[in-house]
Formats: sequence, C-alpha cells, structure tokens
Amino acid sequence: MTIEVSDDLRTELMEINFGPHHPSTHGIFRFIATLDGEVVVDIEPYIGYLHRGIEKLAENKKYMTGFPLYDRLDYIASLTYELCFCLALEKLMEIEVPERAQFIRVILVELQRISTHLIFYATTGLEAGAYTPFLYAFREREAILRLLEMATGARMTTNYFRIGGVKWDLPEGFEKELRKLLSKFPSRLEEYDQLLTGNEIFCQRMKNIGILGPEIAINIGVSGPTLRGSGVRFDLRKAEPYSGYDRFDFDIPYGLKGDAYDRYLVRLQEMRQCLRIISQAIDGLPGGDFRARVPKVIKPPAGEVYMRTEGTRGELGFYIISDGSANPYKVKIRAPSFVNIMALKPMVVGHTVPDLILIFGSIDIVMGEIDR
Amino acid sequence: MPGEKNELEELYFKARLSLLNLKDRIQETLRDLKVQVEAEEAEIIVRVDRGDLLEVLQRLKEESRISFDLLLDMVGLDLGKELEMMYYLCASEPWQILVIKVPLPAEGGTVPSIASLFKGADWYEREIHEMLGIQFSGRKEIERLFTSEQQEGFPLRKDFRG
Repeated sequence: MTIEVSDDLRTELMEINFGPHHPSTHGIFRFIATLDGEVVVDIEPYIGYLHRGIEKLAENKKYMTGFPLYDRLDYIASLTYELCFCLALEKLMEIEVPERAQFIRVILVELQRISTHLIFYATTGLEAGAYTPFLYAFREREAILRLLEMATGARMTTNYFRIGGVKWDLPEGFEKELRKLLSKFPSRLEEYDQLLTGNEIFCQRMKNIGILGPEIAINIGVSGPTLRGSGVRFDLRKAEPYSGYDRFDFDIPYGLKGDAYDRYLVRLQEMRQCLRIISQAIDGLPGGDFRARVPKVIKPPAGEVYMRTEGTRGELGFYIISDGSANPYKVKIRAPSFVNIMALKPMVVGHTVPDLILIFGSIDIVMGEIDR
Repeated sequence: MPGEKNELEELYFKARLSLLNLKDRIQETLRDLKVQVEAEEAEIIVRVDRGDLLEVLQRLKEESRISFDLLLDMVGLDLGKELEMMYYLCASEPWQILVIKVPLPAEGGTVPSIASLFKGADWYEREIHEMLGIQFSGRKEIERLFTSEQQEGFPLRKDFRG
C-alpha cells in the first residue's frame, strides 16, 4: 500500500525540551533537541543548574578546609578528586608519600572506579529498557560502598585522603572483607556479561549509534573511557604513572568503532582490570606509615602546579596557584565530563530520539563536576 | 598479557623526548614570531602576545614532528595587576605538555577565539567570558554558560564580593 503525498505538503522542524528534571539526564541537565520527524538535527545543551562556584569558594578557604568541597564535584567518585588534589599539592610541596598510603589510595580509587562503572552499567540497561541488570549492579555496588564506609567512614563523600597520605590506616578486617569481594566479583562480572552483553536486543540497540571518530574525539579533547571507546589507547595511569600505578600489571581496554556499544564494552572490561590492580595491591600492601610528616597548617611555597590523573570518567586536572599563604590563590578544576559532554552534538545528529537517550547515557556524565 | 604491556611502556618511553630538544624545535617552528619559550620541569611554557595566538596554535598543531593537537585545559587568571589566559596543550606522540600564556590588561580585553582550531574550546571560552569578563573575537555569539542574566560582575575576579 502506498500513501500519496502531495507536493505542497510542508513539514516543519520541531523543538522538544528535555529536562532539567528528567530521569535520563543523570542529574539536572537540560537540552533542547530540534527534530525532523523523529531524527535529531540539532541539539543545544544548557547547564549551570548545579553551579556552586566551588573554584571561588576554594579561594576563600584554607587548603584542607576547602577539601570536602572537591568531594562534591563528582559525588559518586569523590576519591578520584581527593587523590588529584592531594597529588597536586604534594608535587608543589615536594612531599614523599609513604608506600603504604599509595597502595591504600590505589585500592580505594579502583574500588570506586568499579562502583561508578556499575552505575553506568545499571543506568545504561535502564535506558535500553532492561530493568533487571540495575538491581544486580546495585547489589555489588552496595558491597563496595560498605567497604568504602569501613575504610573512610562514609559511603559517598568520603573526605579520607590527606596531603602526604590518608586520614587513618585501614581498619582491622578490611582486608578479609575485600578478599571476600574479590573472590566473588569475577563470577558476578560474568553474570553482568550474560545479562546485557548477551542480550541480543540490547546489543542491536547499542551498536552503530553515536559513533565518535578518533580525530574528532581528540579535537574536542574527550578523555577516559569515551576516548578509549573511539580506539585511542590513552590512559594516564600508563602514560604518566602516578601514585605507584607503574608497579601494577594491567591492560587498557579500547574500542574499535567508537559507537555506544564500544564505550559500554570498554567500561565493562575496565572493571576487570580494576580487579587485577586491586588484588595486586592488596597482595603487596606494605607496612609502615600511612601518612608522611606534614605540617598541620598547609602553606605551600609560592608557585603553580598542574596535576592530572585518570578519573573514572576521564582526565581530571587540578591547576593550583599558591602565593605562599594558607589559602590557595587560584584553583582551577578540569572536569572530564565538562569536555566529554561537548561531544554529544556530533554524536547524536542524525539519530532518533530513543537513540539520543542511549548515546547520552554512553558518555556517562555526572552533573556535579560539569557545573562545579 | 605481559608482552603487550612491555611494548606499550616502551612506546611511551621512546616517545618522551628530552625537554631541551623539544624546546629548540618549538623555538625553530615559531622563530619569526614574537614569542618567549621556556622549559620548566616537565612543561614547556610559551609566552605569546594575543595578536599572534592563533598563528602559534596553528603552527604547533600542524608541526609535523610533534603535533600539539589536544587542548587539555583553558584557564583564565586574575593576577591582580593584569589578567592572563593560559592554554594547556598536549601532544600525544611523543607525549608532552605545553602551556601558552597570553597576558591581558586588567580591565578585560579581547583575545581571538580558538574554537575554530579546537572544538572543545567553545565551553571554556563561554565560562571564562562570564566568570572573568574576557572577550573572545571571531566566534559565534557568546552566551552565558552557568549563571543567569541577573548575575552582575565577574565572579572569578579577585575584587568580586558576592
């Protein structure tokens, strides 16, 4: 059957508004999509709903008084920001961190990397209409959060790392609990694989959407799993090892095509590599101090420092200027999601609205660090 | 796979050129421009006048032997007496960071937009524009990113009191 369309039939572009409060926006994010039928022809993101002015606040606080602010940037991976800030100041003040502290930091940061990737896994499933994986992923995330609570005293905003080390040593029984988790986690990962990667409908939805080529990814400055999904094998833990990452044996997973499916696979494989790092770190955990001798009031020498680390979503950067006083003169934070989200437009143009949600989810942003 | 790991590490190792070599190369690339190249610890700092900024970035990006093709970060600074723009560039192979510093007058001033060279500069420029009051020329109309129209003054300037 054919439908006759007269030549003078006119179609118009339609603008639809998403958010700021929308379940698929992972926070308070708004975008206006211009549609031609169901195909996205243009998209304009709007941010700033969570802007707290953390960079300005930090200038008016002492170094360690402002420290808990950085937890609230990426509130589901707070330790990654703490680590980067501590490393930056340690670089400026030339403090040698004890080995034990370095290992503890690596263990906890990698645990948190798994937990944020689990959230990604869970929400990606939700966005594709698969509800079950969500419950499984949150079961394991809960176990990780319990471990973090055991070590740091808090589940999310941990405030645990200190300049020169960590706040206190790992508690008794932590190692036993961690090993319990490590022993059961590989089989759980298999389960995840079967639940989503083994789901043909999910795979067909994710494949060939939101393709981001390596050239454009580099031109925008995308980093982390989103960059590696596009086939660029770059990971700061390898390229410029910090906090003793050069002592651990692990691989960098990367995608071939740069579509949403590749970004999903990269994160799933990264969880396996995290497990490898954690088990090496806990096996080789040295004794000794958990914190270097550091003055109570931090007064770094005048100067500037730029430190970057591999966060869970990409490259984290702290640029700090010290004028020799107890307050930082300037703190600039490079948030990976802030840059990654700029790749949304080249990814979604030409795709349909349901795919838009999936592509957006595959960048895995967190609004706290975009708005700062 | 241990073999793969060694191969990758060797690649990074080889990729790191000595800083002084690199400094000479960059000086050679930019020889006819008014720039000042310094090498400090692991970074190379290039001080540029705002008129030459685009030309310098273009040349560094298209330099055949070491291409600074990744814009890591853009920082706007209020140094009290003057403002300053900083561009953190990164070359992927060999792996190296380079900082470009552009001095600006204290009341604001205009720098050329680099969004045509690096797509990722767009939001950085919008942020710096609203937070520090620096103008960017040669780009599409600049809109606020974080704050609303009611916001007065430039929050990241040192004399700003909320």
